[in-house]
Amino acid sequence: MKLYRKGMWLLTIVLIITVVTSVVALNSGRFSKSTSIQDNKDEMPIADYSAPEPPDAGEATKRTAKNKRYDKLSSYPIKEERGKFTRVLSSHWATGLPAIPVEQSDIVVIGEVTAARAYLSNDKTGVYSEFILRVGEVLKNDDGASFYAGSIITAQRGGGAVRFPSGQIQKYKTGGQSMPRIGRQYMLFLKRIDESRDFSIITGYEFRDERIVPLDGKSSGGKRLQFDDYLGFTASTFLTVVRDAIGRTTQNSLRGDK
Amino acid sequence: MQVNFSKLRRSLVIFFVVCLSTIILTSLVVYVSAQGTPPPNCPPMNSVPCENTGVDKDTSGVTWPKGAKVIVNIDPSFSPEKIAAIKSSYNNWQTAGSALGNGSGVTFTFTTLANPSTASLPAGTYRAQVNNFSNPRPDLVGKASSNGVDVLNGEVVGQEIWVNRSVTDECAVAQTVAHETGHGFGLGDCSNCSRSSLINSTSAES
Repeated sequence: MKLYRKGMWLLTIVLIITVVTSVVALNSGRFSKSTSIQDNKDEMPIADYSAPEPPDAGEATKRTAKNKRYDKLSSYPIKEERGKFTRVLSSHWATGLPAIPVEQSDIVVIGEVTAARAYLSNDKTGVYSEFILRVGEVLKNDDGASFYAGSIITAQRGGGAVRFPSGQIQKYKTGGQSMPRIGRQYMLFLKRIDESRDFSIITGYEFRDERIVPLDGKSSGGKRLQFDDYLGFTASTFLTVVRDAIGRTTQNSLRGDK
Repeated sequence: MQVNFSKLRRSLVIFFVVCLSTIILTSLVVYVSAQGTPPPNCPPMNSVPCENTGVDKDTSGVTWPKGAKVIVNIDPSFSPEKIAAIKSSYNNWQTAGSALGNGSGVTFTFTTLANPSTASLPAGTYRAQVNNFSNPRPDLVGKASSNGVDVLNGEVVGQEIWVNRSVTDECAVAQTVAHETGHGFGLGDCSNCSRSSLINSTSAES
């Protein structure tokens, strides 16, 4: 009887070890949606709270004008808090937005992010991130300016991190959104901001190992959004989908359906 | 003296049934009043049963500390009717947080300061702000409302709500504020919930 019990225990332990090992092995072997996309989460450009103005007067004026767009973002100016602090804005920005927002975009480009930095608004109530994109391919251009391979585009997105003189870093983000990262290749859907030379990022998709990882949605650490429908698509299939969508929009606008 | 056990047992059963019924009935009354009490002259705010929306994944479902005393500053540029509607939304949440409701114990008091950032917050209290906005931020175009939650050490310590000035109906303002306040309690949007549910994300569209 004792021998039987011992045998049962041993069998149970072996079974548990087998199941755990199999699960771990299975998860590490595939293109893991849950782990692969999570490296976008919470990574964002940083603004120095006490950053001096640009020394060049022209640059300073330009920066002040850009910062102004994010003034009055909150009734409470950004200040250093005691502890781990994050402000999460939730604007339902993705509600009603198609996963491939061709119509909503002035330009759609593929390119590499070469630089990124965050800035505070003039009244220090808001923070935004600015990305420099080297264009590789232009898929759609309804904008007046001409863009071609090698063009440089400045794109912005609300949110970013703020570093205080003490070294503490606080994050300000929009729920469901994450930030493009330097050295990575993206397809970005961009909208011209007012009459400026800058664009705002509506959404984007990263090309990673010949696969598509949406910039927004689950990769931001948030809930699943419509963009996640394309997670794991091969780059070529996704390009076909986007080109088709652009083609349809162009035909519609030629027919005057827009 | 002889004890009649069968009578005693019957009395005990009746006693428990009455207690249980009272608790259920009271909870139901609190629940209904918390979810559905509209501002004066408004239709019922939410006639559908409470729906499980899950946690707000953007904030990992963090919420106000238990028993938090929150001072809500309402933008004085709102009309008196809209201010009353906003207060009623918060009061509904307060009722829902009572011991017979969800037990959060979160309470709300109100101010209407034009410049809340200069006001000092009494020790042990938290702040919320409701703004009357017409900000042309790209992410807010066409949206009825937006909200921001301040999270410190894993707890909500502040919330800011923006209500689009184009929302003119005070009942809609009440519903919008009720929806956004839910994010401060860690509730997520629910695009699959019924249209009449407060937490349906499309109901935050203008």
